Amino acid sequence: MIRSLKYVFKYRRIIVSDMFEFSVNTIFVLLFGAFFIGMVSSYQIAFQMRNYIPMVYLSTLITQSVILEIGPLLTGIAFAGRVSSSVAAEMTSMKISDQIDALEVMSINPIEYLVMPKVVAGTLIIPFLTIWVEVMIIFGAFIIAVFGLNVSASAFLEGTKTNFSMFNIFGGMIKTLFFGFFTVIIPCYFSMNAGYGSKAVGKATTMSVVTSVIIVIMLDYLLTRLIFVW
Amino acid sequence: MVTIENLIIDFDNAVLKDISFSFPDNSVLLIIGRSGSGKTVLMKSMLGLIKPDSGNISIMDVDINTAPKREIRKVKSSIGVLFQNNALFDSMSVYENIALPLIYNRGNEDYSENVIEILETVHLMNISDKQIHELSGGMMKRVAIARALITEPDIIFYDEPITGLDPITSETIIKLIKELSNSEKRTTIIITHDIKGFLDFADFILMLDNGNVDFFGNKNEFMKTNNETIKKYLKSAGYI
Repeated sequence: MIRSLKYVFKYRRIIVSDMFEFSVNTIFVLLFGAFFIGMVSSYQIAFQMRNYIPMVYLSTLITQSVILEIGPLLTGIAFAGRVSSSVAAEMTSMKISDQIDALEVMSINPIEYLVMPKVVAGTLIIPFLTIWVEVMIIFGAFIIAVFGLNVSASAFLEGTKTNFSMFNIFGGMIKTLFFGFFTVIIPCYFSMNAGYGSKAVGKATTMSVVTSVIIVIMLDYLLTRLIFVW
Repeated sequence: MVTIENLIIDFDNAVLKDISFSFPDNSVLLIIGRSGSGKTVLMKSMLGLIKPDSGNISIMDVDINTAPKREIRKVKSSIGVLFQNNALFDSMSVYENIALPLIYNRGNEDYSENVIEILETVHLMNISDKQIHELSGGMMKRVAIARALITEPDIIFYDEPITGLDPITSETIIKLIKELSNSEKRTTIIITHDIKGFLDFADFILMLDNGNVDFFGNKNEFMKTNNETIKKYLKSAGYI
């Protein structure tokens, strides 16, 4: 896999097409979920803050938790569910129908031609999806804060700037790069090592999603320790 | 020369048990046997897709498992394969499927002329731009044959080329394979459970039974043998 990275430029079209496919596959589910999570967060955080912390800090808390944790993790888990399953199903079907063997016979390295472009595409696209998710969560929170909790729009926007740091944004983005890498390479591994027969697709897909979600959650902890707590 | 010596492949239980045979280049070998007898596993091991537990596979005097990588690559680049279920890429057009080995190995140029020429060889016209799902079963089979031929291989494998096709299309495919094996000097290996039509132009026949070689010999020996299973094959195909 590492050796095949030198062919990134050769496969740029496949990589771009995979990036497009991954984003189309996930963006609507992600944004829809993100909007509602933003609205729920607004209510829950406001409820916890009442009588102790002024409401002007509502958006500060939401923005910081979204940038540091909720945005990257939500994107990682949704990506693991949506992209891992589709990559596993597609590649296991290719294996069962001899398409991967056909590539090898044509002297085409399947790792180089199939796996590497998908892994690079997944790794590169996920930070962009995360930015959209974070914007959507904050927008959902904004709607509830302004129309449901009587926080003024200017106070909400001002609060988002408090404690704002580019380091936090980049830290979150770095986490998502790892999420993207693992949530694509895991289904590739299970597919390439899948058995034959109709059950193989289901088994590889389930194993890929479960493993990817667990890895994303574990990586989230480890990377948070490495990036933010040292 | 294609030589297989004491080939054993064991996935928990033995799939191929001590297989040995050899046949000269530019001849047609028919590999027959019931479903599950190990035909496809034998083909995949000859292609280097399945590593044997023991034994040697030599193609064009190169052991495809132990020779230096460069030599193995050279042998593999001279092999074309028609897989049982065609193994065409649904997301690509006919042109992209056929030109894929050229694009990958020779560079991203325009291979339209090569593709049109090879499509004419398999009696298909004006379908380069079509998507795979727009084709009939027989057309898909011919596109897969065209892809196997595009690199002008010295050896071509056909894995169950007529399985799942209607009798008329099957006849067309058999005729095409016969035409291709007669027209150019090329080693042809056909894996099938139905000998009808193929036996007419086969030089050697290998019959597998439960992972063992039940028969290996030339066509005359095959026609004259007293092996009961072979007699059944010949009878069902209308040869006796």
